[in-house]
Amino acid sequence: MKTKIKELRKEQKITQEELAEMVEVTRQTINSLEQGRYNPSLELAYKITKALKKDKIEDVFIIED
Amino acid sequence: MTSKKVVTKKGMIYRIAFIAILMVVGITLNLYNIGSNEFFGQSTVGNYLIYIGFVMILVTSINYFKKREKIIDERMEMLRYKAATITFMAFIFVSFAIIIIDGISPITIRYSLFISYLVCTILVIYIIAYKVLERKY
Repeated sequence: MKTKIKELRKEQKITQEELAEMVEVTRQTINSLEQGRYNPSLELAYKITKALKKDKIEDVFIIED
Repeated sequence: MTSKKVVTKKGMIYRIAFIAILMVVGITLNLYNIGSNEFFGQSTVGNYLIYIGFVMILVTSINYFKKREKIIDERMEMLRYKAATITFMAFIFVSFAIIIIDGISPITIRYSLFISYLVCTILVIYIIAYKVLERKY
């Protein structure tokens, strides 16, 4: 799964550590998500979307065919 | 699914009680000279229980005074689960290998030593599996 977390995070000048704190996960998890190594649960995807001030999960996460 | 793990006072009391029991059992065994038959080569069962007690005191104190919240998130839960599965599979293979080896040439080491090697092997496999998975995911 591809994500736009890194771009959105940089746009809003948030560090990985800050985003991790906002969604209550570890910084390593945010890093894994940015690298596309880990697919989040729906709950985490929703939390990240809200933390990055987006309306839809699709604005942050892109499912590859 | 995130949980925060903190060492609470109640948790500390339980740990201290467990450490005290370990040390009292260790001292009692030493006093009555039970299990002093060169356990693990040179020491006694009682001495090992006392050592474990001291190590636990050290670890518990460090954790308590750090007072840092330890976050356990869904990725870590997934890693734990996968590492446990790998460890279980490895345990089955190791057990099978031991059965074969014992059939060819009987294993003559002491039971306590054998089990301790087995437990250490399982722990090492779990840690390695977790670390490898951590890099992958």
